[in-house]
Amino acid sequence: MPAILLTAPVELERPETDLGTDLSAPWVTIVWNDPVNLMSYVTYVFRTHFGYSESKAEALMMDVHSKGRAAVSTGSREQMERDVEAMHGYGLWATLQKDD
Amino acid sequence: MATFRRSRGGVVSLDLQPVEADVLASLAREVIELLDVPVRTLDPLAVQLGLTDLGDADGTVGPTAPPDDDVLRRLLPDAYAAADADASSEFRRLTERSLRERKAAAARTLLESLEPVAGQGGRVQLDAEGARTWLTALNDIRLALGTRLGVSDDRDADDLAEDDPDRYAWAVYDFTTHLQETLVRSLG
Repeated sequence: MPAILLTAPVELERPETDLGTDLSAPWVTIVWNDPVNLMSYVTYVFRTHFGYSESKAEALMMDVHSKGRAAVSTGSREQMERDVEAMHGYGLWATLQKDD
Repeated sequence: MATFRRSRGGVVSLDLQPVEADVLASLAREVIELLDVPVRTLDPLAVQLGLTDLGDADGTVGPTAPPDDDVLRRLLPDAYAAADADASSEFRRLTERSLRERKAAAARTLLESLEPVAGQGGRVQLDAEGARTWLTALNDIRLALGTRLGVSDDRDADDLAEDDPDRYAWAVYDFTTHLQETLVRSLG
């Protein structure tokens, strides 16, 4: 088959979020909406990685889908970096930031 | 179209036509090629002048800038919002290399499980771990295709003209979507 992936770039929107400055605030992992990731797969990832119930995972997925983003976990900066790294491993579009 | 089904003993199976097996293998090879982990070469002069990062204790060092390629930027996104580019750079330096390696390894696993059916089609059976690996590898393939095709919430294959050169790629994208959807479902 012809190469599909090695050609033709397109633009991607980048998340623009203001980072807070409060050093004591906890951090959050944000998952962003994405037109490619399947709703069923996103729910699967939330269940698998975070151990959330089916209903909680599905509610978070619907937040991502309808509001464009959802905070999926909260904790220390180090914990959130691990969560973001795991989300990127699954192919979800995630960032971490201070909770505000 | 080939569909994942749950079979006995926690195994899922997929019956592939020869062309379907070849398309999947080809996509996996393209992802592996895209993810290619660059060989680490240090310019001695740059080191001497302090112009290069010497890396961590284990000798690995990753890039600090996001990839130029759109697909790679989607597969290896920034970890912080645009306002905190320095934190993203540092995170990328520490993690991008291993993320690339994990994604390439998943694509290689997918490719290996296709080897027995290459050129002739046939049944692929996956255990639980194989199914999980296929899910992420299929997702990376779909992210790559979706980025190249400019997939958005309001643009899909139905919008294409009969003679649109992207029709083939859209059909492939829809095929991989179907595979991933049925694989997630068969994992329950």
